[in-house]
Amino acid sequence: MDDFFNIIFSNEFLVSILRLSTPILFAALGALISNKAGVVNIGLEGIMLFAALFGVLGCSWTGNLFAGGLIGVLIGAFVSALLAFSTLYLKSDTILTGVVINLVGAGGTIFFLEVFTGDKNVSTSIVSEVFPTLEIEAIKDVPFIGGLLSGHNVLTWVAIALAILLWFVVNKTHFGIKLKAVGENPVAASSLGIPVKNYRFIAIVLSGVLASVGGIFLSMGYVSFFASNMTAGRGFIALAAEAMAMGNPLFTLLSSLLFGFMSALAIAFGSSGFMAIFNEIFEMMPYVATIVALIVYAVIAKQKNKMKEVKNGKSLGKGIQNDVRRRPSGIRRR
Amino acid sequence: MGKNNFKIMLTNMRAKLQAKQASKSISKRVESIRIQTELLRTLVAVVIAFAVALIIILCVSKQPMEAFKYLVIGPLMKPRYFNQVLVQMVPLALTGLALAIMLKAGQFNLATEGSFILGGVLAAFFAIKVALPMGIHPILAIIFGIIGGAFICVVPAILKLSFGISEMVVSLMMNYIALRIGNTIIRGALLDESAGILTTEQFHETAQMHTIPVGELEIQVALIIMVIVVVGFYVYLSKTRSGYALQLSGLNGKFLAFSGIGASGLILASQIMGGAVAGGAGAMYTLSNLERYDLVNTFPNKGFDGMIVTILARNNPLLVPIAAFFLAYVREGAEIMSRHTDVSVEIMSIIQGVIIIFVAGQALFSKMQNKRIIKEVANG
Repeated sequence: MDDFFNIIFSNEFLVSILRLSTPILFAALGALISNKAGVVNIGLEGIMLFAALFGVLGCSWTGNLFAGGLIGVLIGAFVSALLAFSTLYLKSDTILTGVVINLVGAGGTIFFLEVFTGDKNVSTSIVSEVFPTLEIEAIKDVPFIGGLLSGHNVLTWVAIALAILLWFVVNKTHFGIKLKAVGENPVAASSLGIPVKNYRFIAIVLSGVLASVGGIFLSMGYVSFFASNMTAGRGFIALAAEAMAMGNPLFTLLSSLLFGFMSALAIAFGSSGFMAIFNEIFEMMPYVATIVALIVYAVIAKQKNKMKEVKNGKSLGKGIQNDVRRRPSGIRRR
Repeated sequence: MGKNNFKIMLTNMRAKLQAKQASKSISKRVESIRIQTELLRTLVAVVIAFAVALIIILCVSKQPMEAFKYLVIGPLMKPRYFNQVLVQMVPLALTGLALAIMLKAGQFNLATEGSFILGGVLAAFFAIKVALPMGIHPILAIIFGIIGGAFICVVPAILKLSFGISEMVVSLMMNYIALRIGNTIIRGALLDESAGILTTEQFHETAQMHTIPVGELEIQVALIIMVIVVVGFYVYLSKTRSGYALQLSGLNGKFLAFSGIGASGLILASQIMGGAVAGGAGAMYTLSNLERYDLVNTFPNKGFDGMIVTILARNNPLLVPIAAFFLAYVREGAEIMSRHTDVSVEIMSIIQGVIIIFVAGQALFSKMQNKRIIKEVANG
């Protein structure tokens, strides 16, 4: 039990929260951008796996960290482009195709790993580099602040910067506003001359790119190898983080941190042996929290609408309002 | 735009032809053209997928022809192999059916994975903790699993109906919740401390589901149950009033409401049925194929596999077993190939992916189909 408290009050614990949040944040930002365009990208998990594998492979082929990372991201972008092509041009169902991408990712990465390295499950026979961590010597040992600012991976800072950038892009640029228009009302957007399919294609590929960076963080930052199914559901947890943040990039940063905190807590319970069963409970918490949050949002939205109705003395057209209200802006199907 | 014009044209033509009292035969012929196109698309998808597989095998294998032979006709070479196809087919067909039922009601409920897991764990709990005589033990264990599975799938529907929350997001969450609840049960009550890995104690002998020898094959009881369930749901959906209403609720919920039938009850019922089937599938899989239940941290993907089956079967309950058989055949072929040659079994996930992309692509061959329909109607 002392062990447990030693773990959670250390700077390493803070660092581990950020480390666990990083892949979730990348993928959640990916989920966000495709959701903005009105496409739910369930294939994030599979895309992350492909990127994680080919990042490691690319790094061992070229001997260069960034070239390897680039190869990983390109493959991830290619897979998401396949998803986009299939749903937009071949008109397959987005959700079902996304699930299939995950299934292909789970098996296909193992297949390609064996083809290229001869390893099964873990890429032990090839050497790959990792993205560096930034240690700030001066404040490293200061409690709390040291853990907050020092010892994080470069990609962690990139993820945080991207969350802020994405908020700007979505809310303040032409591209972002058109993207939202495409997602919220494709028919109206197309009547204004916005090429809906193109925007959706770009959004899906961008979401794949973001998820891919999360994937290469796992295999080239979190650890230095690829292991089968190493994403372990982070693609799904990212969808949860995005849903909880109601499609706001900055809130997505917060929800990802919250989920990272819960994972870190679960690991602390697991490794200290102090009530190991809480490991499972805390692993479950992000999903329960998301469902609870969605319920709370829905109830609040209902209340607000009721207040408005009373204020404006509206009672006619209630059916239509009900219809509109039923779709909270963050979660849109297809 | 083109599609709309075409629809208007089609309805105009139909109206004219109705005057000639020939509409019935026309619509039948149009339907048969649709079926032919679907068949063609499936066939082309399978051929392309196997061509892709052949190319990959040629690239990676030292004995490509032998590998391809095992992949394509491997399961037919020994009765034992064919038996294995039937064993793999049962959970695929049941999870596919579960998903098809839920999709019929217009709900994108992806919680079959969770239902499958929780169904399996609860059946394992019952098989370990309770001592009962032979015949009753598995039945009660399966019922336990069915209840667990139904619970997982009904939560998204309840939240959708009462708060308007997207059932798809909630169902994805429910999968993980089911996985973790399952793990908590295993860790809390069933763990075998003496085993080296995290796994449960052995099931009671009485709980295991047995096989019936037929010729050289060993037919699982689960297979027979599966056939009964599939036929049952076909009859329910196409021959009963409530089954018909359920299909209608998926196609057009508002119309249903206008005709005076409440859709929410139907939606709830369909999600309970789907979850029950997936949970039962998990329970039967556990009791027929396993002796202990291992703790896992990632999805076994058994429930998600149902999605491939559903896409292949176009949501049609009667086609579900055929699609499941085909998928099981491909998987068993890949497994036999990996045992005899240097190509690994995971190639089947690539084959599946290619097939699905082509089968699910509604746009493929749609031009050809439309042309044929126009011709058919014009000739009247």
